[in-house]
Amino acid sequence: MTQNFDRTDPNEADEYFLNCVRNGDLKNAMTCFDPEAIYIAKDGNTISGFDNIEKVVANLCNMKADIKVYEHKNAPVGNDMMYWLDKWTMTARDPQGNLINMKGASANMMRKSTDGIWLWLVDNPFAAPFFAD
Amino acid sequence: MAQNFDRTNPDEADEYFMDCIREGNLKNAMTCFDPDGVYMDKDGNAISGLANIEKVVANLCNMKPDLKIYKHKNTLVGKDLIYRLDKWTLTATDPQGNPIKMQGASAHIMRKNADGVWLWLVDNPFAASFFAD
Repeated sequence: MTQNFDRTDPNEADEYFLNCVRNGDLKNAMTCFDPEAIYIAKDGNTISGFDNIEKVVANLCNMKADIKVYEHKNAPVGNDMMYWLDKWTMTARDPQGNLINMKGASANMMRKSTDGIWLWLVDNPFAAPFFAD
Repeated sequence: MAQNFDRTNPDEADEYFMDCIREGNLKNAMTCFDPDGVYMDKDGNAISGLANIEKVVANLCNMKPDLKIYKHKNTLVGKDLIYRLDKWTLTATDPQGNPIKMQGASAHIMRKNADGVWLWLVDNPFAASFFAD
């Protein structure tokens, strides 16, 4: 079933991204990132550059991870940016078929493209461990 | 004692801001905000507009609290944005003379202005409470 998403709405832009990952659609998942995007990995390292981010997203897509956002908050910043906090759960299977259950919280930033589509500028899905002391 | 801060360095820009707060210097503290700046208050409400942010910062300046950062991490996003996570402590005395001790963690965005000075674009000092589940 094809779903339509209005990516000029930040919430639907996020839903679209999650849908791409669930369907293992790497090509479309990568259309959700700003050209200057950075991804902050689990170990806190910053990954920048489309090609590098694509490797991370490919891992997610290969697993067809079922990522759900169960709480979020966004705040517009100027005309073209959005500060985005969310909490998520992820269910997937590793290549050996073992079930993976994860949860976390993100502190992200979105930026609007010239077409009015909201893209990930900062994707930091593992923000929570920094805050846990 | 007057200290010099190189506000084209993001860490010193933050040090300058905290110095203004400690000295109760509202006027200079407000020069640390981008015109599009957003402040996320303790309840998670987004406060935008410099005049509204000034009310919050005025409360801080009136207490002249000792605000210290004990851990932080900056990540450059493109040329003119920085994603900044930090942890802070605050020590102050309320108007009745009772001691106030607080700690928290922030997920901020800074933007460089035309003079190369780093300003608060998103100031979210209470990010930790969102992540606490």
